[in-house]
Amino acid sequence: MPVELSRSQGVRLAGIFLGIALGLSALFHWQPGPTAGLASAVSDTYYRFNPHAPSADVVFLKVDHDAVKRLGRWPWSRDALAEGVAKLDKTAAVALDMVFSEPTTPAQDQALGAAFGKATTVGGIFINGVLPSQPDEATMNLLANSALTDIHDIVLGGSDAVELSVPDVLSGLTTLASLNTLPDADERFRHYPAGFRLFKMVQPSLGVQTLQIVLNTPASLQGGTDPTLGFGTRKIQLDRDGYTRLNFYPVARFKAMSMARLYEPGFDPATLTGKIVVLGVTEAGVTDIRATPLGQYPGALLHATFLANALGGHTLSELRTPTMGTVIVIVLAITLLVMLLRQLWLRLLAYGLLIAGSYGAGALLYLYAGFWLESAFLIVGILLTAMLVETSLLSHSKLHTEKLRTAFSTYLPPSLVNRIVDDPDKLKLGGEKKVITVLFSDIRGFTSMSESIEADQLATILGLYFQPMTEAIFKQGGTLDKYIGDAIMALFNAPLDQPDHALAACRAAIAMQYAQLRINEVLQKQGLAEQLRTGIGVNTGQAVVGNLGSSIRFNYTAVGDSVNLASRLESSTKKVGADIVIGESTHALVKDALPCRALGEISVAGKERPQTIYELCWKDVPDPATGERHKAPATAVAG
Amino acid sequence: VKKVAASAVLLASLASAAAVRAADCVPIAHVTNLEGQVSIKPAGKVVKRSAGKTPSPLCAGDEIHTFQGRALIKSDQDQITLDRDSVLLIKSQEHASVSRGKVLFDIQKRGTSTGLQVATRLSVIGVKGTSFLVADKGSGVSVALAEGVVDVASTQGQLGHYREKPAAAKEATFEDFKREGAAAVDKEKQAFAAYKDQVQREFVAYVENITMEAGTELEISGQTAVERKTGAELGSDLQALRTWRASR
Repeated sequence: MPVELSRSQGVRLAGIFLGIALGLSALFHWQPGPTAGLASAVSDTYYRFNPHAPSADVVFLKVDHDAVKRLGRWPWSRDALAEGVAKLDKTAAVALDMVFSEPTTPAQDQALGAAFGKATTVGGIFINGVLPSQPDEATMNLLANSALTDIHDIVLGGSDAVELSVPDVLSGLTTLASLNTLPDADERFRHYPAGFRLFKMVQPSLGVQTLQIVLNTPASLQGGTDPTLGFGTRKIQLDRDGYTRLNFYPVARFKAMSMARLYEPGFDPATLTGKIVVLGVTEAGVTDIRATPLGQYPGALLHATFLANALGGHTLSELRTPTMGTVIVIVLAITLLVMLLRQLWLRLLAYGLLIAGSYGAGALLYLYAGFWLESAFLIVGILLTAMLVETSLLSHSKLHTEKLRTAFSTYLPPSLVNRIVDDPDKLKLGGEKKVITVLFSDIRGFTSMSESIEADQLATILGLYFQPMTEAIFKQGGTLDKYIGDAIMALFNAPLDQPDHALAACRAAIAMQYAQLRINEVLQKQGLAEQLRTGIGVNTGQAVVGNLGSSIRFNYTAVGDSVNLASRLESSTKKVGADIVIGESTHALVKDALPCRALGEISVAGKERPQTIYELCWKDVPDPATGERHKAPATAVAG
Repeated sequence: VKKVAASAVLLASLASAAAVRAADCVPIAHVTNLEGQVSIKPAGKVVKRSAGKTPSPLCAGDEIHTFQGRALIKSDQDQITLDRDSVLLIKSQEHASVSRGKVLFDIQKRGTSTGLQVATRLSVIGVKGTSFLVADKGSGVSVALAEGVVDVASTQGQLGHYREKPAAAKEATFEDFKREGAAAVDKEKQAFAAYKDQVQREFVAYVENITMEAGTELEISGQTAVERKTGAELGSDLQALRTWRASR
């Protein structure tokens, strides 16, 4: 079935299409909780393909089970911790994922501060932490020295409450950094903050501060339409809240070391030369464990992941709304083109390929370009568009069926209309050359009779006449072409194939003559008119059949010489004194089944040799409708 | 005894580190006065140090960051006052750059040298003895000239140079503002906003250099530079910094 949508259908389709595209783009932009969770369920699987390992320069130094076995429950006494920390003096930097906010003894606190002072140590602060303290002058100076100042137009979260280490520990720290991280709407951690506002200053996150020191390059934060975190020429994309998407590695790929190692007698601090040490707690019961796309992650590894992403060039860029909106429109437009496929299974295959392709494109962009494509939005868009396509195709085919039904119910018996509707492929609309049998009938002397009787009487007579005549044609599977005044034109073998069309036409003609007898009885009873006689011409031959006419009015009909001849045969009935006259070609097809009599020859326009015509002796044949035989002997009426 | 000796060695090494740092560069200016948190980012370093006790020496390449504080810097010839939330880089005795906030320059006339060049995000200001305020407001950079003459050169190619004149007869100028006094600041700011709505902007030319006159301000944003009589906003900033400096 060819898909030709009407203008209004097209407009409606385009409207819904744009609605889907805009709706998805808006959902992508604002990502309400459930949407983000659903989208991530798809894209989180990309991380499983991560082929990279974090830089070996990043060492995760963990207070783990072994360390607790050796030194007792965490937190340890600060001089004991200081003993281990003192062995980090050869490192490039130490990033502390811990805050020492409660004082112990001054001697212990000072010992720890002094141990941190041996290395370049980035200490942690919790913005809005559970134990906020009012910083003194020296701490404010340290916070100022830690703050970022190359900041333009960026929106960052913040607070004026902060949890800090005690001053004796702070005094040993090179600089400070925020330890805060925030999960996505579904409570999973995927994004890392660049920093937060505190006391009208911007404190960088632990990873950002450590990276500044390691690269010896100050960080810059640029807002606007394309927020970025820059380290010189190195740019890391941020979202509009100042977070960057982390590229997660499986935990086992991190270079990790138990804190217990530092206390082993033979430990050589030189093995950590130039390393970036992230110090955190993993021991069960103490640690902060975070849910990430790759499962449970020690909180400290979020900072380590950011560092490794930046150092290894594994940072990710998420597609921003304008780009994503464009991608959505393109993919949905391609989905809309699937409409051109006629077979349902082909369309289903195409939808499947598009969905697989969207997911695959997301995975490939992640692997080879560092771009993050939320393919769930495309997949949902493809499904919605597929539903749109399928429903409009369904309603279109329904409409098409209705059109067929109204177009043919006037000229075809209902059973034939059903056959056409059930299987429209059997019907060929438009012009078609085909051998058909055409039947013409006419009431003899009707024109002169119509002048002598009243108009309403005439209408009554025609009503009584056409009904049984048309039924006789329909019963033989004929198509009523048209009424022309008192004449009837009927086609056989069109629009549906009818192998015995010549015989069917002749049977219809016979049935019409029997119907004529019954009509006359009715007319006589009502005293309406004198007896009517109908002349019928039947001819078989090639003709062009189809919906012919203009766009204003068209009609299913047949044209051609054979049609003209059928009309001529009907006109000749009076002259030759026969009720039914059939042409040569029809005779050839029915002569074995029906009694016929040659009447002589007539010359026909368009034919070189004259045509032999035959009378169909209908009175020798029982009524095809009732099976009754004619009451009078055939010979008595002949002539 | 051993411990004491070790401490002594440590102290000695710390002292020598400080000595090395001091000898590392020749100070070209000093932070002579400050309030609140003022940090100095040494040349080539990332981690900032606090300005600490004044006078605090500044070397070529040092960056001064004020957060909620303010700082006064003096060199042989010049006085530079940093407002809150400002960043100033001292490249050399002849070159400075303002990348954030508001900075007031009071520059002595230099004999033979080319004077001081102050770079901003959008322009370079060349001065030989004058007093002016540079304000980076994010959207653009403004220069208000109190005394003397400065030459402002664009670093963004050609600028459309416009001159604003009040449509109303009375001009609300910086001089007016000074007479009004601090009590009328709010009223004056409203009046200034209304006045700004009435001004006529007149195109002068496309230029890369604009020479400013005392009592005017130049606002550069995008490819436009608008020159007008110093308005209340920059005027009050300038006055506030002068008042703060005088109180020190």
